[in-house]
Amino acid sequence: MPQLIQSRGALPSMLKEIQALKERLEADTGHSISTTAIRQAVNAYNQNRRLTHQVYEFRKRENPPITGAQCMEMVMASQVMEKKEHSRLLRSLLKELEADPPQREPGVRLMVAGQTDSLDVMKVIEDLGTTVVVDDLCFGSRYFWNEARDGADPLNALAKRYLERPPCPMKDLHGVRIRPDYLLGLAKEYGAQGAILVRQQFCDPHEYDMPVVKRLLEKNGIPALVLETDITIPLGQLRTRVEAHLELVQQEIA
Amino acid sequence: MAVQQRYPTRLLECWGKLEELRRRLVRDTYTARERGDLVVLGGPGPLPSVLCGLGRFQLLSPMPIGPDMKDLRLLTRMNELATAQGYGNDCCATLRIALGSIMMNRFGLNKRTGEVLKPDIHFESLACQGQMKAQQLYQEYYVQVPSFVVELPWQEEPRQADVDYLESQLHEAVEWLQKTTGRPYDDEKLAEGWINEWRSRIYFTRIMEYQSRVPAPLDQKMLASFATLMWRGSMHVPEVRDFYQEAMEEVGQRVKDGIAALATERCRLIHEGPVPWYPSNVLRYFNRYGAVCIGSWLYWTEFGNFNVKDDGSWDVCPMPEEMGLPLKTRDDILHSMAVVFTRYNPRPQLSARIDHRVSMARHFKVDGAVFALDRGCLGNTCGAMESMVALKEAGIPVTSYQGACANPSEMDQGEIVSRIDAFMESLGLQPLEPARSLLQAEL
Repeated sequence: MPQLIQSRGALPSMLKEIQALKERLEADTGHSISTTAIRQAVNAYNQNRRLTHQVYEFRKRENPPITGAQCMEMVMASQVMEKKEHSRLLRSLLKELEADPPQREPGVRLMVAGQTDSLDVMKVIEDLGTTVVVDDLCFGSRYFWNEARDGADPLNALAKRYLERPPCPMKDLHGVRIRPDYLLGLAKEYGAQGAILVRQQFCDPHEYDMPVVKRLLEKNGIPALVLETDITIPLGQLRTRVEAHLELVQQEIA
Repeated sequence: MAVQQRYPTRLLECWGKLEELRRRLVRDTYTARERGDLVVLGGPGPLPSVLCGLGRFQLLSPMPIGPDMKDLRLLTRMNELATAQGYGNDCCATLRIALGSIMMNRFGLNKRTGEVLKPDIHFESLACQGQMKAQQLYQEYYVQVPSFVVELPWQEEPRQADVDYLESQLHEAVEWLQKTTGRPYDDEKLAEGWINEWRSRIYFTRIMEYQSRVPAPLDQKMLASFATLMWRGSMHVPEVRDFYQEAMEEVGQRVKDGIAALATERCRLIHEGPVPWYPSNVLRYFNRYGAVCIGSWLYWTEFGNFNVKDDGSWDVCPMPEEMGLPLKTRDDILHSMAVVFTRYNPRPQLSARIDHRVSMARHFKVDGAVFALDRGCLGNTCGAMESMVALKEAGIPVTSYQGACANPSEMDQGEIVSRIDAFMESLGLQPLEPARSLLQAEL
């Protein structure tokens, strides 16, 4: 997909890309994909996104009834499950979240942003007496945050949705960055007291954002820790660094 | 004792002109204000000729280039300063030294007058995601000026959709340049600049094509020197176009006369990946074995406009008059730019680069390949390991070493020398002359 999503050629380019994908799928499978079928799928995905948002709303509570690791698992399941089945489970989960009191103390409220698909990372962070109350991850909020608004052409709606997602650093390009302010807003909205910015080595765009995001969060009283990871993640070292960071956050809260 | 064949060799006659042109381009940049020329941060990427419609302009490269790159202490300091700001060793190495250079107040420094040149605007065309993102750092650390980047689209094969996307961005760029600078935009100057750039690139591409001949008329280090004019984004300059034409004719004559870059050529190598800038002797270390580095996929696709055909041969992009595209209106010009940089630009074909390296090795009659695995350039290192496997499977021996093109602390000279020596011996070659240091200066 185009990187320069701000350019006026981005939407036509993205639309052509999706049309080419559709044609390729049709050719490879021998089945045509009707506009009606795409519209139905878009609706099913949007419904799923709305339900996932409702689950995220619970994370704003003083004592969230769901952890960051559980939310990550929920979103990752959504990426591979049949959408209607996933939505059915989400409805059931929403009832449980409303009915059942939280089973743990929230501790320090954190935001996790950057790049990780590791449930272990999330669990290590939360095992130290914290709750991840919001995230900005490809395997988290960025996956479902915005909807494909169906117009006359559902393919166009899909193309627009990809361009209008909360930007990852690579898509936040022209002029002044918008992502740092977006992350600050997210942290404030969910009441995060600290942040952990996870960065995978050799991803330059993320690395170029990290110092700027860290400075902005800290200027606003949200201590931020940058954790650098590779394909293998040394959880022991990570635990030690998060522990030290939590001491800083607790001082800030006090 | 076997008698070693020796080819005739001679110095390049165009060398003096190259040196003079390089000096002139630098001088023109630093005296731009005296003539009222627009100063633009940008240049290493293609299509600087889009700026030609604005009239006179000078480019200030976002990559620090020049003598500073041979000063190991200075380079190390620049890297340290970038690290201290949070930009670690795995970031783009050239960006790190640019940041370090900015923090030391050396970026854009006119060493004669002590003044730091600040651009009026930033304008580039790039495929590298990191470099596209880096413009924000220049804004934050160097100077806040209006900025516009054109994305050269990644593609698996040349497609009309990518031509359309690039063309649309170029139209947007022209509108932005007019609005931002307040200068009138002259389509005739655009056409003139683009045709110059096109010709410059094709002359250089033909020079690279000559490297398929045995003996190689040039070595990779000579090509790197030729490419310095491209790094400065000066392909649209008439004198640069003329230089490349003259150089192409001279290299063609060298081929006819059987003139070699290396008299003792008995082994031909491609040296892949960004060559460490500070120890540029790496490329000639192989000479002691009678081996010559003839080029690389990186060079061929960074500076050349080839189309890799289905049969694996490397086809040079036609000249403007051969292509048959209309070149009268602004629409025509911008369309032809998009066509040339999508149909004759194998660089953004990410998956294909593996096959391209194999076909290149065959087309250019290569005996082996050396890969610099650059920790400071993800884009160019991407696909290197897969390419090494593919080359080995094609019967072409391969070795590699690690480093970072602009970070001396990432280079282990002893390890590199050991690996190269072992590799050359594995090819059955014994040294013809004593070893030389890779570094031009010690740290």
